[in-house]
Amino acid sequence: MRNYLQDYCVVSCPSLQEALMALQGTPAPIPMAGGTDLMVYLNYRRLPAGSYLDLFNIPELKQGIQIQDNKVVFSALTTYMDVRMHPYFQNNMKLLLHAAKVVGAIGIQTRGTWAGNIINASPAADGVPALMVYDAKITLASAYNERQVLLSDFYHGYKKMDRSPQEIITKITIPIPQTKDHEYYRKVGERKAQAISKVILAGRLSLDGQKKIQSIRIVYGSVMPYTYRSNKTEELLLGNELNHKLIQEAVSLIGKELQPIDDIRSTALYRRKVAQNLLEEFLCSAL
Amino acid sequence: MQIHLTINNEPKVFECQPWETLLRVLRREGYYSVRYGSDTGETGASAILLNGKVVNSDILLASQADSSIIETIEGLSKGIDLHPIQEAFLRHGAIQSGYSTPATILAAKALLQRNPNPTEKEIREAIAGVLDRETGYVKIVSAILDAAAAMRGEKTANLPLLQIIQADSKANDFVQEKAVVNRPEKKVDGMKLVKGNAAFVDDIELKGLLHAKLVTSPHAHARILDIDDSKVREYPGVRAVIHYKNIPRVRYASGGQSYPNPKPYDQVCFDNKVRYVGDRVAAIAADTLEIAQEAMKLLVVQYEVLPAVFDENQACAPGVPVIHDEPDMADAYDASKNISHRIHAKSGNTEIGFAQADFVFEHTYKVHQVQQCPIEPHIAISYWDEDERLVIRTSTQVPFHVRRMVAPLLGLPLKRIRVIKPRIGGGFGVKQEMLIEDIVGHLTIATRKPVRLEFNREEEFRSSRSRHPQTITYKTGVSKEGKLVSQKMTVIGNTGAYATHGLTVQTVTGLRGLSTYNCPNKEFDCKVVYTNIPVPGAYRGYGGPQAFLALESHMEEIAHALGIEVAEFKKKNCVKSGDPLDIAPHLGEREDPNPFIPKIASCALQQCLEEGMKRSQWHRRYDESWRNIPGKPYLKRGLGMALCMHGSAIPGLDMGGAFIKINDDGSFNLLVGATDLGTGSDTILAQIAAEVLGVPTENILVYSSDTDLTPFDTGAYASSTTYVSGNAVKLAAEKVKLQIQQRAALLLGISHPEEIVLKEQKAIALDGRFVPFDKIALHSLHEYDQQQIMATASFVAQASPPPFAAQFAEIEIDTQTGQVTVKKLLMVVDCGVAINPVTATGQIEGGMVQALGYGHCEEMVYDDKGRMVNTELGPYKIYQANEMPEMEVVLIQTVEETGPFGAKAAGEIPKDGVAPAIGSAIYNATGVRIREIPYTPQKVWQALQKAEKI
Ligand SMILES: Cc1cc2nc3c(=O)[nH]c(=O)nc-3n(C[C@H](O)[C@H](O)[C@H](O)COP(=O)(O)OP(=O)(O)OC[C@H]3O[C@@H](n4cnc5c(N)ncnc54)[C@H](O)[C@@H]3O)c2cc1C
Ligand code: FES
Repeated sequence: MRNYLQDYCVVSCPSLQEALMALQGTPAPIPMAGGTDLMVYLNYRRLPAGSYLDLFNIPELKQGIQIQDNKVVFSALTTYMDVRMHPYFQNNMKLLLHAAKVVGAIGIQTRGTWAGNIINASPAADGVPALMVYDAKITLASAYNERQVLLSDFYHGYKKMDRSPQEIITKITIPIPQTKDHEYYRKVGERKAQAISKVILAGRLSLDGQKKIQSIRIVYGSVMPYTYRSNKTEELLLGNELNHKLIQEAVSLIGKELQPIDDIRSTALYRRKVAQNLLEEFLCSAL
Repeated sequence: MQIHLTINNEPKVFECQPWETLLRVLRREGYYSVRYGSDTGETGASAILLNGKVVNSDILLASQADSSIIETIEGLSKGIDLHPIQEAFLRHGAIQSGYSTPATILAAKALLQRNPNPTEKEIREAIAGVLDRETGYVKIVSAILDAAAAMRGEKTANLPLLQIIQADSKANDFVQEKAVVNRPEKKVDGMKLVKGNAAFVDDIELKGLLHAKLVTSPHAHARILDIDDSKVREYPGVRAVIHYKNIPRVRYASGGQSYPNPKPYDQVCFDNKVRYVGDRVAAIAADTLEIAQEAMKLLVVQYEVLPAVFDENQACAPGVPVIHDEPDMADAYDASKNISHRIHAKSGNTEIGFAQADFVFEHTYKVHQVQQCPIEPHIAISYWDEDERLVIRTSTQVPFHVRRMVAPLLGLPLKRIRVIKPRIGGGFGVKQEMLIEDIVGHLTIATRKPVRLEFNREEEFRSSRSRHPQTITYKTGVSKEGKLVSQKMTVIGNTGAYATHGLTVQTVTGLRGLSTYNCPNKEFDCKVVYTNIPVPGAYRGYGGPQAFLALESHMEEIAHALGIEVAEFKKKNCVKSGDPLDIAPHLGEREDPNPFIPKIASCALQQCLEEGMKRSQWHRRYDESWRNIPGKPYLKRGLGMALCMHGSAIPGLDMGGAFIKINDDGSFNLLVGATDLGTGSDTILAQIAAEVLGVPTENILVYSSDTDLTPFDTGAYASSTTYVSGNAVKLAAEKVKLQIQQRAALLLGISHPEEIVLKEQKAIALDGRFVPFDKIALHSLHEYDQQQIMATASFVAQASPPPFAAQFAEIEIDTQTGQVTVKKLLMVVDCGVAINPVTATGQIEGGMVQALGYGHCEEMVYDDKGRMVNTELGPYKIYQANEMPEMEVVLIQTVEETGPFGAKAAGEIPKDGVAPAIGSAIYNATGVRIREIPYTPQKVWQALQKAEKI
């Protein structure tokens, strides 16, 4: 008897090295972590037939969360729940905790991984903006190479990213901020029971004694086709005194910098306006 | 491949395919408590504990779970000894249909394991992944809090909070003397539901079961020029393919309604034309679901794509395609103009009325399409039984209508069909339809094998039913004193591709839209039109929610224009006891040339409004300092209100039957045709019987809805079950009571049996002597002049006593983003005597959440080709437990003379007021009126921008 899914196969590997070797096959199998994205596609038969590489039983990827002197390291299979349960994030880098809490619901948080969120590359991803705002770097490994990429340099279009099919994320490294920062995270739409027309802004800034901006990160989700760090607006702000005039300049610049998505449920105009309003709220809240 | 699992402490080895989900494997192995709700992890009905953590088994590969420890609810308790969480769920009435209850209980268990003393917020977070469409989560949360306390060894509160006020001393005296009525009795079917026992349609195993798939149209409007199924038939494992070429063309209307179904009969099982994306094209039965799915792709269908129309306001425009142009189309009002019905009704003369009025106001509102979304989608299984009769086991609200309606389509005499309704995982109207039963029937006839068809979530969205979109215009004339003089309601109702409930829903819109306020001249003018959207049908509230959004917004707009405080204005005009229901007789399902105009009997509407104003602190509406939030000029608060009025059953039409017999031990079987969809009707009916017979509720064993075994019932719709079936049960119980009294009189040697009182399972004479029921049963069944004590009765509604309510909503709005956050919903309801205040308030809480979705975030969104784009329960947003506003329900009890033990209906009224109350609150916060729902951020923001520019 024929089975329609006969062409789907799942490869399970006992070690990282074997997994990386398996990825050298043609075509390369698709890595599967928690499966919370992939299984939805699979169930709706929107996935191409082919083979999948089950990462869940690879010990090297299951090292959990390590807090080191100046950085935090997530190994590849770190889930949202791992962050929620870890004491460190109760008082540090709280945007990570915040993002972990807003993803789906508990049944998703126990399986869904941060790495999967990165590679799934949804413009509306919740984990990615929080990682990006803390300057997270990802380590990509293949059988013959290993390299690090800054997450904010990783994407360059809708679901387009700097990864070859032979590579997997083995870990995510996040430097621990050295300044006491003002942090901001807001999601319009989703959480308050409105999935439609959402805009995410994750922001982080520190001021010196003269109210000069020492460091600034502005990251948008759901506005551009990928999670977007607004370099130009950051540049305008950096080193300048935070005041209403500067805020207005930044708000107007961000309006030009963003080229928002336009879809059936949310117009580009609305997304841009809300993105501007959120930036204003973020900056004003630091005054 | 093989996987090794430890399930509920037992080691297991299962054979499975590498791509199979754990959900599928578990169900195949008999863990029926793990339930299907979606393929996307979005309903959470499939949640299990994997190594102690909640995961959704529908998006977990079985192979990925290899060597894990799994817990399902089957392992939680043995026999009838329940786990404390299960106990608490029963006590608190935290269960309605029970479909997703096992998942919720497991999520609670995982939480309490790591946190024995959780806050309410933590509980809401923990169960957030399990969507509930019925309870509003209120009683679930209180049950878990209570269970946690019990598990910590503390004394527990034991009951959910109930706020009940007696409208008058009559109500007070009436409820005082009741033994089980008006008491928070445990759900009679609760045990099987908290244990996750096999109780639903899909929870059976049949040898040789075939799996069916429906091939549906990718086009909104197209002619099928040809179908070539040869490749499908050749595909190994395919057993049958049916479509317009091999299924007889019999016209019908699919709405589950009384005989004769309202016309036009504009459907056939399979047509050579498709009229919406999701319309039926063909069905395939195969050995496995995968084969059926694969075979679907091999069906060659030649379409001639036609232009389509979606908006009800354009359906009749010149040049618009004719949707029902088939030659055998008949009985529509004007099919050539896409008009299925015209409805016109009036009392008085509105033209004269407008001429007499001091002011005339006119506003137009638009309401959209939403879906019922029961967590259990449509599912039916059919098979030939040993008597060569076709059995259809189906998730339906209307088993008796289904049997009558499906017979001619299948070409079988009715007597050769049996329809069984097991437990249903929610319906809300979407299952008041003969939707898929004919398909499984045809396939079983074609193959002689059992056939199963289950919609997945996407199919449920595209190919089932929904709420009618409408454009509603009110024109109202008012006197200087603020009294209504004349009111005309004009409606264009969009019935999509088929009329099914088109006539009746729109009729109810008129009825609801013109009944709440007194006015000497009223007129309803309605056009029901065909379009190419997926078919709207019955949805809890049935035309009422649409009407109330428009009516309550319009009334408020008038009040503001007149400068009268809105609550005052409504109070001045709303109905009270003794007022005529003057539009009702003109809007019956069957026109009566000489209508009798009923009067309102029990009515606590004014009291509801006053109580609600007090509790909501209505004065804050006019308090600038409350509405503005210091330091956040873009945030505003608002308080809004809407009045609501519904019906209880369709008079002259809705009928229910009941049968009661005694057993040897003095317990009783109660057989009813009424269908409990999770609404708690089995429990309420048992309580009514128990009250009459003087026994505890648990001594009434209820069996509902099997066309072979139970009496007829029109079904669960139109808020009729408590009122209609409840009265039938009461009548049957009274007849049984008479027989018990006679038997007791015989045993006690008494000549006046009517003096014997039934109480505490005894028949007690005036002098205190008594006979226990088991003696009576044994005596009558075995010992002397043997006789089965039993009785049947039926009841047909003569009236439809309206329940009333005042709905309040408190919101916060961010004017920069248009995001509305609903902070609190308060509803004060007069539903007569609540037979069971726990199930009644549960119905109201759950109804309010659906209504909140209607007003706030749920919408079926289409692209320009008429394809729904958000067919998943994420993009189609349903409130989760941790997103809920605070909810408060207060019952004001009146005694409705015609109701069983004073009861009226409570099931639908909570659907009516939430959307307009939010609209009213938005107006209060911003001064902007939005005449269209849902109040989504972008829509609200655009309205605010527009208002600013003016
Ligand atoms: C009901 C539901 C609700 C959800 N809600 C949210 C939400 O609110 N916010 C949100 O952001 N997301 C949400 N998601 C999406 C999903 O849960 C997240 O994107 C999750 O982080 C994906 O992780 P995963 O491990 O399950 O990924 P998988 O499904 O296993 O994989 C996702 C993608 O990443 C790739 N991948 C995974 N791991 C690696 C690796 N180590 N190296 C290379 N490639 C890899 C896979 O090949 C695939 O392309 C939701 C999903 C569901 C089902
Ligand atoms: S019991 Fe919750 S949706 Fe049915």
